[in-house]
Amino acid sequence: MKKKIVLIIGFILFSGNVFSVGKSTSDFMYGRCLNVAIAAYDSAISVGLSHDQAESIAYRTLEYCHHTIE
Amino acid sequence: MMKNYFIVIVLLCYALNISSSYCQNNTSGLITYNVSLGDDKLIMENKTLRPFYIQAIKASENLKYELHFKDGESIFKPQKRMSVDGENIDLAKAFVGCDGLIYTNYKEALVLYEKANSKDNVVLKKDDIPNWKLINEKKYIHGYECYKAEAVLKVINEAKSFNFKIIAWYTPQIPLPYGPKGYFGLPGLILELQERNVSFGLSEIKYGTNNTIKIDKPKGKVVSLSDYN
Repeated sequence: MKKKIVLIIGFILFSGNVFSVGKSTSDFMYGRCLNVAIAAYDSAISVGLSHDQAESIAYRTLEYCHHTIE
Repeated sequence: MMKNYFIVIVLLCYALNISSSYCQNNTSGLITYNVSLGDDKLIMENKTLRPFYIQAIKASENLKYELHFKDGESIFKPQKRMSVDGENIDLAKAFVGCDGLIYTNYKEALVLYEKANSKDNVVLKKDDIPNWKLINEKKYIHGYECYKAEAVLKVINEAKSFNFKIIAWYTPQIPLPYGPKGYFGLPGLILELQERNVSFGLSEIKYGTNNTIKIDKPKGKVVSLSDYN
């Protein structure tokens, strides 16, 4: 649980939206990307990947998702 | 009779000299490996991971890794290249399990992993050194006579613990203990390695008297991989 919290905070900071407040479309899309990344992390753990590898996969899915938005 | 003994002694000295020269002149080099991501039932049946894994499989077709080694140390890292046609090379490296650099010192049995986007400059230290089981099976890879070895990859994460098979093909014709992704310790260079769904295969070998290769140990805060996980 602690690791998940650290991961979420790290991704929020990465997304650069830590100070964003509001219901704009981009906030919504970045929020969706974060959900995708967290789901990727959980899935990677469930299929037997290590925490450090699941973290890398989640990071890259978040990065890719942001790239598709931009 | 004496003449025959003399010839045998001369041939023996010649052979020993060759062997010694081999060891002195071939302790450094560069091995290039191809990599492929194979079918993995658990990953492919996971609806979230499946589309990303398919992207990674496609990108891994053009991905290579380099193993630089010298005097008992080695560095294993992805070969530098730009992504083409929207391929997600970074995602491929993440699924391979090596998006940064893996340093090995086989004399100290030390393996350090420096991730590509490491937070707080953390370097992970692998605790599990593979317990190789040598198998009496032989095949030829790029003309080298290779033998099989097996080990078990244990993964302990938040869900539970998993065991996966590792298969290595090493060649005693190159009596160096190195291999891809931080695997070492076999009585010959590892030319092929399969770790779960990830396969490394020999692409190119360069070894000899080139001693300009520099192997730098990763700097940073060392954290045990088992603690990190």
